[in-house]
Formats: sequence, C-alpha cells, structure tokens
Amino acid sequence: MQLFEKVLQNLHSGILILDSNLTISFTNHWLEAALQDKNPAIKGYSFLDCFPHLKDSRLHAAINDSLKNNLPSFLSPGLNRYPLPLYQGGNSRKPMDQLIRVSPIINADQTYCMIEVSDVSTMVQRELVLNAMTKKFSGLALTDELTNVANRRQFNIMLDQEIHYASRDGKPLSLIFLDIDSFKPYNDTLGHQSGDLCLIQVINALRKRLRRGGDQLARYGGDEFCIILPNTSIQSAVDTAESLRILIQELAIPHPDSDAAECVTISIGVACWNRANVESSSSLVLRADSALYRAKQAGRNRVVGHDSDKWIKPSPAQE
Amino acid sequence: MNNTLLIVDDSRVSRMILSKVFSSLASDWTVIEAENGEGAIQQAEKHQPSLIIMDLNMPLLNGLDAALILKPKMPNTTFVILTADIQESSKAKVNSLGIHFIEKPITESVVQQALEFWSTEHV
Amino acid sequence: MSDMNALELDALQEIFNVGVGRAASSLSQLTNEPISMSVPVIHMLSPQGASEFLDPHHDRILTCISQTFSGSFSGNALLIFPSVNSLEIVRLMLGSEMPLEQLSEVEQDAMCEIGNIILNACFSTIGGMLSEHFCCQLPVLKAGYITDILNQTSPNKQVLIVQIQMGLEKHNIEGFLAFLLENQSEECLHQAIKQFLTKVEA
Repeated sequence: MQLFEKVLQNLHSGILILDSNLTISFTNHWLEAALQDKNPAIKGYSFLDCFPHLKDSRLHAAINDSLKNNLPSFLSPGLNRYPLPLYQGGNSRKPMDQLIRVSPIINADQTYCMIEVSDVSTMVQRELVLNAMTKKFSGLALTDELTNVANRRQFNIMLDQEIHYASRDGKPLSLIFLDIDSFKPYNDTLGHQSGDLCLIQVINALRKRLRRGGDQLARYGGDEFCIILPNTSIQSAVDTAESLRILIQELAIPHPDSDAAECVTISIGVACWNRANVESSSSLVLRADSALYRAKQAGRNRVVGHDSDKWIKPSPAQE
Repeated sequence: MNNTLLIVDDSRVSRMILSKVFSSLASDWTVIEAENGEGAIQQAEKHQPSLIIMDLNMPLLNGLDAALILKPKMPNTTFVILTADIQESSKAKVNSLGIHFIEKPITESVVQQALEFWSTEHV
Repeated sequence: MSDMNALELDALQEIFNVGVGRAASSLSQLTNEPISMSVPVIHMLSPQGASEFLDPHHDRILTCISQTFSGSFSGNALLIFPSVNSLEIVRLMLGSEMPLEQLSEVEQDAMCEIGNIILNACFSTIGGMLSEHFCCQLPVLKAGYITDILNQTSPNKQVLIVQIQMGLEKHNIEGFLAFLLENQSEECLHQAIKQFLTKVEA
C-alpha cells in the first residue's frame, strides 16, 4: 500500500471514489465502518447497484456533473437528509447527518469522482436544540402568561398579516372586541385570584368554541379580548359574537355585583375591515372598540357591530 | 405547397438557431418568425403554419396563452412549446393542455423531436 | 472587454436562460415545489458600476457564494443575494420558521448548496453551448460589503452581471450572478460567443 492510500485509509472522514462507469474503485475504513448494515466490501461493484435508492437523486446528479462536466458539488445536511445509508459511531443505529463534497479528479486521462463525507450529526443536533429554544422564547414573548393566548404584541402582528391576506385574496375580515361586564366590581368583591380564574374560564370556553381554523384569539389588555375572524363578513361575525355571548352567559359563573345579570356576561363589539378605504389596522381596532363601548352604553351583555357607518344587530334567529 | 413553420421567441439568437437547425433537417419548409405571442397570432392567422414552435416565457403574451388562443382555430396545426423551464411541473402543465413540450438548448435532436410530433399528427 | 453588440448579448442571455432553467429544475426537485422563473437580464458594468448597481450605498452586508474557475476562461463566479429577503429562499427550502437575522450553520450550508446548484448549472450550460472546457473549485460562502466582495477585480475590467429572479411559494427571490474574468478571459469569452454566432448565422 502506498503512503497516500494509507493516509486516505486513516482519515476521520469518509472517502469513496468512483470511476467514469460509476464503479466503486476505493472506499476508506471510516466509510466502511459507517456503513454498518451494508456489506462493506463494495469495492469493484457499481455504485447504483450498491445504493439503488440513490438513482436520480441529487447525489447521483452531482456525481454525473463531476464526471461529465468536471464540476464539483456540495451537498448540505439541511437539503439532503441522510443521502448515504451511514450510521453514527459504535452500534448506535442512529442515522448520520452528512455533509458531502463531490469532486472530479483526473488521473492518467481517466476521470474519477471523489465523494467526501463528513459526519455533521452533532452540529445538526445542536441546531435543532437551539431552534427549539428560540421558538420557545419567541413564543413566550408573544403569549399572555395567564391565559396562554396571544398577547397584544402578537395580536398586532397577526392583524396586520390577516389584513394583508384579506387585501390580497379579496376576502372579508372581521374583528371582535369583547370584555367582561362589571369586571372591576367582580375583582373588588371576590379578590384578584377569583378574577384571574374567571378570565381563564371565559377564555377556555371561547377557545373551545373557536375551533374553526384561522380564527385567532388574543388578550388585548386587562379583561379585554379580541378575536380575528378571517374570511368572515360583518353579519356572520356579529352572529358568531352573539353565540359567544350566549355561551358565556350559560357558563353561569356567579357574579354578585353586576348590573347586567346575576352571572358573568360579556359585551361585544364587531367591525369588518373596510376594503374600499384600504383601512389601517389601528382604524379597524378603533371601530371594533367603539362598537364595544356602544354595547356597554346600551346596557351590557349584548353585541353591536359597526360597518359602513351603520350599527348592526345579531340576526333575529340568534336572539 | 410547402409546409410552413412558425417560430415564436423573443430571443433573436434562439430564432436564428432554431431556424438554422430546422432548415438543415427539413429544407423544403418555409420558415416564418414572430417575437411574442401577439405577433404569433397575427402571423399564424395570415400564414396558417402546419407547425408552431413557441417559447414559453415571453413579454406581452406568453407562449402557452398564445397557443391556447390559436389551437381551437387551427385544428390541423401542431403546437410545440420550446422552453428553458424544464421542470417536470411545467412540462406536465403544457402536456395536460394537449400541447407538445421540448427543452432548450436547441439541438438537432430536440428539433427532430418537434418534427416527429408534427409527422405523427399528419400521417 | 471589447464591447459586445446586441446580438452577442442576446446569445449570452439565452445561454444563461438555459442555465437558470436547469438550476430551477434541480431546485424544484429538492423542494418538491414548482419554481417560477423569468428570463435573466444581462448587464456589462465596470467594477465600480457593478458595486453601485448591487448596493448603491455600500453599507449593507451581502451574502454571496463563489466558485473560482479556470480553463478556457478563468476567474471567479459569484452568486450575490443583495436583499435580506432573498435569504428567505433557504428558509423556504428548509421549511425552517426561525426569523433569525443571521443564517445558522445548517442554513449557511444549504445556502452554499443552492449557490452551487445555480452556478454549476450555468457553468455546464456555458461549457456545453460554447463547446469550452474548464474546471472549478467547490463553493465558498462569504458575507461582506459589496466592495470587499468585488475587490479582486482590476478597475479597467468589466463585470458580467446576470440578474435572475425565481419565485418560490409566492416569494420572489432576486439574485445576481457576477462573473469576474481574469486577464485574457474576457476576450476569450467574447471570441467564443462570436464563434457560436457564426455557427448559427445563415
């Protein structure tokens, strides 16, 4: 064995060399060891016979590019999940994340293709952990701690996004604002812990009802919550709001100090995004909030919608 | 009367290559050209070509839209899209509309394919 | 480079059109998504003109993937993504959701591969259509100001810029290929294109 061959044999990365007919003319120890369940004696056999699943794969294309066009290729672990059937050290049976370089080598008028494999499992694993952590932190920053729904910051992002989609897709978009009637007296009489519990109960009930994909619930602040209803016209949103109002009333959480009822109730304001004016998110929020204010003025425990300068009530069937 | 080929491509070089390669394979054809889909519609209505080879990505009116406008009016014409967009999805879309598909770069074998599409439709 | 005429530039554009088409096809196989593409636009600029074209204020950190090549033509080919939005291409292809300002290591490697796919498709098309041979090195990912990225060029040379646009899942990705040619290579490329045209002229 020549010195250079010994060097290749002792490398801590994999080397596989193919001739122009895709016959395997060299493999080093590292590669043979990582092949675990393959017979490592693949030298002399056709690459595609040894690895039939790689036919027409990105690696196959890269090999052809090197043999026919003399071009080197780089295969990243992110875009190529486990291209070669290689396993991490020992008998772990864990598939190996690979970074592969494919280069043409010309020797004595013959073109060969060298496939160089590095084990990047540790790096890929570390990034997975990092990504999961980042996701968790950015989730925390955008979620309300008490109720576990989106906070105001996240709500602003979601609303801008939904307005963008509504404008692009030509679909209606409605926004619901709601708060708990006489919540301050509730807190004052029963204490903040009961207040928190009441918020959680109301939110859980709303969340259960809003299973429809796309509807998004957020805590705007205090006892004020909002719901974004994509692809929903004003009347349909007002009717949805009315069903939510009834739902909360039917929870029958006792409220000793409300001027609306003997149990916890909610007031709701609804507005629909004004396409013709290319309405801003802040203007839409303002209109939904003033509809809510009007619902309160009119005696609480009711729904008021606002659209095209008109006030809108729930459909008669719902009442 | 000679058969007529209409070449539609916004690239002058592509039209030149296609015209040259095609004439070497079928010297008895008349070859006319257009630079975009709109020009193709005018030329096609005037000259009634038996084969139209069109680029896909062109300004104003693209090749596929032009082919779809012309096809119902010209039942005896073979329509071929010739494009650098060689994705399987593009090919499938063109074929599903009953239009043939060949890939750039323009070589003798590619042009031969177009001629074969024409000859199988004109036995 | 002695100035190319309109027909020669058209030939160059058609060559890159085929190259970018091949690249889009390979990328769409990796993502299993169709990729829309438009015909690339060719610009011949001085190094200073190229810097201003790619980043007028010279104040942004750009990401680029480069491969050096030698043979019939020698030089450095770069794929430059001037807009931060263009880096979205790698997140879309990897399906990652992290709105990080910097690319992670996995993302950097993927970016390198995307650049490699696009550059190789162009190299093999140029080689095939112009019947020229050259070899090239593996891709390298760099980030820096445009002046640093283009710094190897001597000021009297021209830079061939190819503007490419691809669409992936409703996102438009704009990238620029820059070919920095060494010594006699500009003239060799011009000659090769003239040769190519004499073969097709009637």
